[in-house]
Amino acid sequence: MVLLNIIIWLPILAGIFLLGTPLKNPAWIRRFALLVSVIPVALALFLFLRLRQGHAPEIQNRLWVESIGLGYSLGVSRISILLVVLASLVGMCAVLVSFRTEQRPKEFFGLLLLMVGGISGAFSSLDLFFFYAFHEFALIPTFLLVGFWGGPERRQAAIKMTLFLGVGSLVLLLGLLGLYLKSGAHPTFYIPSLIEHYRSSPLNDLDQQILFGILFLGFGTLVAVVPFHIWAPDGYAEAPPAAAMLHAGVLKTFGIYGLMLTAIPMLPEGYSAFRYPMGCFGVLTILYAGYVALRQSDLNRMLGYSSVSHMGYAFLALAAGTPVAQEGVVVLMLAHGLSAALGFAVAGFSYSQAKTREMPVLGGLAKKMPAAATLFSMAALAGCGLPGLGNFVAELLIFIGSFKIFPVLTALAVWGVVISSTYLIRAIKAVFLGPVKDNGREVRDMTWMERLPCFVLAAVLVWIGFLPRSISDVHGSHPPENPKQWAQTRDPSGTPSL
Amino acid sequence: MIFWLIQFLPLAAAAIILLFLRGKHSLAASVSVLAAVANAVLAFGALSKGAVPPLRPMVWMNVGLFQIEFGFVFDHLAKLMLVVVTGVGAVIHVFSVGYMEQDTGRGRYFGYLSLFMFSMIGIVLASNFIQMFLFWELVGLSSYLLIGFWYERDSAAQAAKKAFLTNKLGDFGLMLGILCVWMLAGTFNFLDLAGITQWPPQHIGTLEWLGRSISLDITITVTALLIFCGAVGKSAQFPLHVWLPDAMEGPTPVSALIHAATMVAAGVYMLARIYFLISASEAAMSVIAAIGAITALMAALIATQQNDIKRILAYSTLSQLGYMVMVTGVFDAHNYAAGMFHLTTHAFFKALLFLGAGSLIIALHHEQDIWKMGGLSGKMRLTFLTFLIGALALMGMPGFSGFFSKEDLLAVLYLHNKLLFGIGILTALLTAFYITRLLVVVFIGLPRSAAAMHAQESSGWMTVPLVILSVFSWIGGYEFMGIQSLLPKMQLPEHGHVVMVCSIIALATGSSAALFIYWNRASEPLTSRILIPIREKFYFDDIYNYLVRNIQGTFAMFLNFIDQWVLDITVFRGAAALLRGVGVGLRRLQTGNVQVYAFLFGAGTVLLIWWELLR
Amino acid sequence: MNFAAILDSAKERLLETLQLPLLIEFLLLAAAMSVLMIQAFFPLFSRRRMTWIVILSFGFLLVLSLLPIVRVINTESLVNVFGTSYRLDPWTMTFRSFFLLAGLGVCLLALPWVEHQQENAGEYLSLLILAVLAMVLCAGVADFTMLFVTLEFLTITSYVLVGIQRRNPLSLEAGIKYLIVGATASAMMVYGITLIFGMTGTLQFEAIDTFLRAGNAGSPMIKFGLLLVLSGLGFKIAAFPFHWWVPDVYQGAPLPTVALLSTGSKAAGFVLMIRVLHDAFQPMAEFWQPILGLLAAATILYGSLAALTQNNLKRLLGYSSISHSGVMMLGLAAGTIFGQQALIFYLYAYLFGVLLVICPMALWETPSSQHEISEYSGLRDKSPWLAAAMMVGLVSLAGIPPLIGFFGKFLLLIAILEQQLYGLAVILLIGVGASLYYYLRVIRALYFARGDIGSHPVPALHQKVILGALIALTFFFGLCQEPLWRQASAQWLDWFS
Repeated sequence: MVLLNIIIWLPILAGIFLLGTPLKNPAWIRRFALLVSVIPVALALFLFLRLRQGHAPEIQNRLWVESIGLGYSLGVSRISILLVVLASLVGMCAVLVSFRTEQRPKEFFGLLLLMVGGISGAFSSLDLFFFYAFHEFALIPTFLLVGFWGGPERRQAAIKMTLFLGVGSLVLLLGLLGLYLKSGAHPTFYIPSLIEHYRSSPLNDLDQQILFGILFLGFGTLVAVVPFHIWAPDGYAEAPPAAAMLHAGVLKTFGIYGLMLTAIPMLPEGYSAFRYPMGCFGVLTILYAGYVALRQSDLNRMLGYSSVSHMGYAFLALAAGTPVAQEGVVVLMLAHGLSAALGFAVAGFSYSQAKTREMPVLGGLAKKMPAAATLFSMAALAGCGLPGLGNFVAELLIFIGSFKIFPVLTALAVWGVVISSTYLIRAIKAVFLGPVKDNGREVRDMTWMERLPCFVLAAVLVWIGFLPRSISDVHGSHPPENPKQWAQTRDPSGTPSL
Repeated sequence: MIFWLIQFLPLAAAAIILLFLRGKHSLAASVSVLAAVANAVLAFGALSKGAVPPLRPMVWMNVGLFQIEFGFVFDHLAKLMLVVVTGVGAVIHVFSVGYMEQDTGRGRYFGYLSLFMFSMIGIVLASNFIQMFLFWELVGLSSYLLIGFWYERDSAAQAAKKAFLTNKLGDFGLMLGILCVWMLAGTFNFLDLAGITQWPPQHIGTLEWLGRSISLDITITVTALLIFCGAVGKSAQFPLHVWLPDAMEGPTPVSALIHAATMVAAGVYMLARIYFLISASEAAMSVIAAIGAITALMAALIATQQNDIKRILAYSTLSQLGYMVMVTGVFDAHNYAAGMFHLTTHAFFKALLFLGAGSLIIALHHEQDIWKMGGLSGKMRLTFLTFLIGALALMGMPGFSGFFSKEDLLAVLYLHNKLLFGIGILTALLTAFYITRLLVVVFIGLPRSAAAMHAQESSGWMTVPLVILSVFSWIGGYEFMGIQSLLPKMQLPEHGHVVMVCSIIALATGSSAALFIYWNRASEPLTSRILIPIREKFYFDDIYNYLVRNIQGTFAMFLNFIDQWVLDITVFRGAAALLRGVGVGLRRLQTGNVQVYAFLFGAGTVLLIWWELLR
Repeated sequence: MNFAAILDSAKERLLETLQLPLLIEFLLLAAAMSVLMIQAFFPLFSRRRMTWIVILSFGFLLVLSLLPIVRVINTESLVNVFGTSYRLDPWTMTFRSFFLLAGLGVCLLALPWVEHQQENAGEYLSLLILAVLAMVLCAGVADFTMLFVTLEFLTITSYVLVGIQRRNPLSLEAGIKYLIVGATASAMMVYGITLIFGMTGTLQFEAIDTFLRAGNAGSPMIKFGLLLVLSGLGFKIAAFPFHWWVPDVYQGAPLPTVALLSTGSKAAGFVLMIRVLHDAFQPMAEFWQPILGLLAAATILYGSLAALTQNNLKRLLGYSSISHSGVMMLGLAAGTIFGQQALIFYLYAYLFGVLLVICPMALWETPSSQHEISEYSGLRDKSPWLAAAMMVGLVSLAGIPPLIGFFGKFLLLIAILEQQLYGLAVILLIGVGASLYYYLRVIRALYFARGDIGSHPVPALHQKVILGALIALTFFFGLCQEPLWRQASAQWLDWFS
C-alpha cells in the first residue's frame, strides 16, 4: 500500500515543492519533474504485474472522520491499476512533450505533477469522498494550465470547461451523497461496504432510478456525453498539449470508471431502467460528435470532438453490460487515453511549428516533418479503429458484447467508425499530405527528445493492439469446452453480468 | 512453425525497414526482396505438406470464457491463394527494385510493401473471422499508404483517402456481418462454422427486429449480404468500385500487386471461404451474381473509352473481378472453384500487364496517356512481347491461361443462368475490344510524342519479372500446372461447344472491331455524344461527390450549427446571460440610499410576517 | 518551607485561576484597556509593536481557550454566571476559540493596515478587542436581556470599526448606514423580545422552552415575536431580506473590519440564532425550520446572482458573504445537531477562506485602492505569493476539494440531504455553481490577465510565512478534517445527549 501512496503523493508533494521552491534553473526543474513522473510509472507497472500474477489486490482502509464514516481508503483492482498506469504514463509523456516549455517552467511542471497525482488518487480511492475529492483536485491545475499556457482563446475556454466540469461534479456529488445517506443506519463512504450493503439490501426501484439518473448526469457531464459536451472541444482546442493529453486521455475516463465502480454495481434496478437510454446517449454521442467533427476546420477542435465521440462507445458498452463489452470499456479507456494523448501531443507540435491549427491552410507537412506525420497518422488511424492499435480491440469487444443486446444501436455505433475514419483521414490529408503550403515552409521535424514520449505512447498502443491478452483478465478464464455449447448457454457476450 | 514464419517474416522485414532503414534505400530493398522471395520459397515448400490438420491456435484475446483465437487454416483454398500471393508478390518485389530505382523514398516503399505482404498473407491464412477482419483492415492500410506513396501530389493523397474511406464503407457491412455470424453461431471459427447448415436449429441464434425474432432464412440472407459488402468494398464491385481507378495514383508495381493481382481478389477469396454460408441463401446468391454482372459489364464499357494506360487496366481489373464475383453467385456446389481459378490466372496476366505498363511508363518518363505513345513495339521488344502475351491471356485466346479459366467460368454461367451468360459473352467481347485498342494505339503506328520517340527497353530488374510472369500467363491454365488440382473438382455436366464457340466469336468480333477502328489513328476516332456517359464513367464520381458533399456535408453542417448556435450560444451563453441579467437586476435594488435600505428591511420583515402568519 | 510545597501551591493557584469562569473574557477586557492606556500615555509607542502585542495576546488567549484544563473541567459542570443569564458550556468553549481565532486573524490583517493609516491605531485595536469580547460573550447568552446587551455591545463597537477612517467619506458613509439599519434591526428585535416576554412571562431561554413545551407552541403572538427577533438577528448574519447594508458597508469599511464583519460578527449572529432557536424555541421547530429554509434559499440565490457581475472585489466579497450566510443557514434549516455542527465547521472553513482572500488585499492595498477586480489583474506576475494565497482562498470558498471549504459544504449537504430537503440541496448546488463562476473571474484576473500595477509594497518574509501557514492549514484541514471537526462538534454531542 505504501507503493500506491507514493504513486499518488509523490507527484503532489513534488508539485507543491516546485510551486513553492525558489529554484530558478529550468534545466533542473525539468529534470526533477521528469524524475518524479517516471517513478510512478515504474511503481504502477510493478503493481499491475503483481496483480496479474494473482496476488490479491491490496486494500487500505483507514478511518479518517470516524463519526461520519469517512475514511482514507485506497485499493486497486485490475481495472483501476491499469488506469493508474495510464495516468502515470501519460503524465510522464506530458512532462516530456512540454519539456522545453519556456514560459514559467516551474509552475507549469508543478501544476502538471499535481494533476497527475490527483488523477492517480481518483482512480485508486475506495472511499467516495476521496474518490470525488481527488478528481476535483485535479481540475484546479487543469484550469490553470488551460488558462495560462493555452491557445489564443484560453481564458474563455478555461472558464467554460471548469464551469461545466464543476457543475457536473456538483450533480455527481449529490448522487454520491445519496448513495452514502441511503446506506443504512451507520452510513459509510467505503465503496466495498456500500456495494456489499446494496447487494444485500437493495433500495426500492424509484430511489434507485432517481439516484442512477443523477449519477449518470454527473458522470456523463464529466465524460462529455452529448448534449453536455460543449466544454470539451473548446477546452481541448485551447489547452496546452500536456493538459489536453492528461484530461482528454485520462481524467475524462473518470466518469466511465465511476459508473462502473459505483452506480452500476450499487443500483442494479436503476441501471436496468437506464440501460436503454444510456445506450441511446452513447450512440447519440458517437454519431453527433462524429458528424460535427466532420465540419471542423480547427485541428484541435476536431480532435476534441473525436475524443467526445469515442467515449460514446463506452456508454453503449456499459448499457449492454456483458462481460465482453465491459472488457471492451476497459481496453477503450486505455487505448483512447493513449491515442488521444498521442494525437494532442503531435497536434500541439505541429501548431508550435506551423503557427496555425486551421486545416485548410495547412498541408504537406509530412515533407518536412515525417516523424510527426507518422505519429499523428498512428493516432488518427487508432481513432479509425484500425487493427494493430488498441482502439480496434476495444471497439471489437464492445461491438461483440453489445450486438446481442442492442443490435440496432450497435449497428449505428459501427457506422460511427466510418464517420470517424472520414474526418480523421481527411485531417491526415489536409495537414500532412498534398503539396506544401506557405505555413509548412519554415517548419522542422520533431527532435528525438520530442519524439520519445510519442514513441512511448504509440508503442504501448501497438502493444495493446497486437497482444491485447497481456492486459486482459487471465485469472478466472478457463478454456472453453465446445464453442457451440457455451455460445448458447454461458455466453459472456450475451448475458449481462452487471 | 512454418506458418508462423510465413506469416511474420514480412512483418519483421517491414518493422526493421520502417524503424531503422528508411534512409538506407538499397539495404531496405534487399531486406524486403529477400523476405518476399524467402516467403515464396517457404510457401511452395508448405504446399508439399499436403492437407494440414487444423493448427493449434493461440489465444489472442479472452474475456473469461470468451476467446478470440489466432490460428491458421491451410486447406486447398489457402494453399492456392498463398502461392499466388507469395509468388506474384516476390516477382513484383524484384520488379520494384528496378522501377523505384530513381525514387528518393524507396526505403519507405519497401517497408510498406512488406507490410502489405504481411497483411495479405494474414487474410489468406486466417482461421477465423476476427483474424481475417484484422488483416483485412491492415491490407486496407497498406493499400492506403502505397496509393498515397507520393503524398506530395494532391491527386495521390486524394486517391489514398478515397480508397481508404470506400473500403471502410464496405467494412462497415463486413463488421456487421461478422457480428451477425456471432449471433447466428456463437463462433468466429471458419472450421466450426463450416457445418452450420447441419446444426440443430436450437443451436442457431437469429436476429431480432423490434422485439420479434426474424426467421432463420432472412437472418442468413442478411448476414451473407452484409459480409458480401466487405467483398464489394475490397474487390471494388459496383457501387463501391470508384476507388480502384483512382488508386492507380500509386506506383505501378503496387497497382500490379495490390490493385490487380492480390488484394482486390481478397473479396473473392473471402466469398469462397464462407461459401457454405452464402450458398445457404438463394436471395443473397442472386444479389451477388447481379452485382458481379453489373460490375463486369459496366467496367468493360468504361474501359473502352479511357486514355490512361493504367486506368484502362484498372477498369479491366474491375471487369474481371466482376466475372469472379458473378460466377461465385451462381448457385451450385463448389462453383467458387471457377472464380478462384480465374482469380489465379488473372493474377498472373494482370500483374504482367501492369508491370508491362510500368516498364512503358518508366521508359516514357511517367507518361501514361496512350495517345502520347505509339510505335513502341520496335523500341521495347521484350516489353511488347510479354505485354502481348498478357493481353492474349486476358482476351481468352485459346491456348493461353485466361482461356481455360474463362471457359470454365462461362460454362458455369451457361449451365445455370442464360442471362448472366449473355452478359459474360458481351463482356468478353468488350474485353477483346479494349485490350486490342490498347495494343494497337500503344505499340503500333508512329510515335506521337518525343518521349515515345526516344524510349528504350527497361533494365533487367524489370524485364526478368516480365518474362517470368508471361510464362505463367501462358501456361498457367494447363492441367499440368496443377492449379485445378488445388481446387475442388467441378462437376460440370456436358454442355457441348456452345460456350467455346460463343466466346471465340466474341473474341474475334471485339478484336477485329478494335483493329478496324484504331489502326493507325493519331487520336480517338469515337467521339460520338452517345459515348459521353461512358467517357464520364457513368457519372459515379459525381454522384458520390454530390452525396458526400451535399447530403452528408449538409447534415454535418446542420449538426455543427446546432452545436455552435443552439447548444453553445443559445443554451449555454444564453443561460449565463440570463443569470447575469438577473444579477444586474438584483443589484439595482442596492441603491446606496439608506432610507431605501431601512424601508426594504422593514418591508422584508412585514412580508415575512404576512407570509408566515396572515396568509 | 520547602520548594516543592511552594510549587504545589502555585500550581494549585494556577489551576484555580485557569478555572475561573470568565478568565478569558476578563483578560480580553484588560487587553483592550491596556491598549487604550498605552495609546493615551505613550503616544509615540510604535503602532506596529502595539499590533504585535495584540496579536500575541490573541494567540495566547486562543491557546488558553484550547487548553483541555480550561475546557474539560467546565464540560463536567456547567457554570452559570450573572444569575442565569450567562452560561459556560462546551458550546461557548467552541465559539470562544473560534472568535479568538478570528480576532487573531483580523489582527494579522490589521498589521499592514494599521501601519499606513493616519488614524489612531490604539483606538482601532482596542475596539477590535472589545468587539471580540462582545462576540465571546454572545456565545454564552442564556436569556434575552443578555442577548440584547451583548448584541448591542457588538453592534456599537462595529459601527466605530466601520466608520473609523474619519477622513474617508466612504468609510463614514458606511458607518452611518450600518448604524441606521442596525438601529432598525435592534428596534425590531426589542419589539419582538417584549412580545415574547408578554406572552411567556419570562426572558430566560430555558423557561421559555418549558413554557412552550407545556402546549403553548402555537400562539401567533409568540410566532410574531420570534419572527421579529429573527429579523434582528438576520441583520447580523446578513440574511435576505435583512442584508441590504452589506455591499455598501463592505466597500466602505477598512479591510480588517470587513474580515471581522464577515467572520466574527456573522458567527456571533449564528451563535445567537442557535441559542434562541435551540435553547428557547426548540418546541416550535416545525414553525421556524421552513422559514429558515426559505430564507436560506433566498439568501443563497440573491447573494450568488448579484455577485455574478460585480466588478469591485470588496463588494463581491460582500455578496459572496451573503451567499455563504445562506449556505450556513441550511445547517439551521436542517434542524439537526449534525446540521449545526456542520455550520460551525463551515464557519471555520469560511474564516480561513476569507482571511486568505483579504490578507493579500490588505498587503497589496495603497491609499488610493478602490479594490476593483481590474486592479488585481496580473497580480500573479507581481507577487506570486499574494496571488497564490488569494487563489487558494477563493478556491476554498468556492468549495473545491481538497481545500477546507469543500468539506464544509460537503457536511452541510449531508445535513440537508439527511433531512430530505432536496430542493434546498439543489439551491445550494446552484449557488455553488454560480460562485464557481464569480470566483473564477477573480482568479482569471489574478492569473491570466495582464495589468499594469503601480508601486505596491512587496510582502515581507513574516507575511509570506503567515500566508504560507494559512495555505497549509487550508490544505491540511481539507484533507485531515478530523481535528477541526472534533473541535467543531465533539463536545456538542455531549451537551445534547
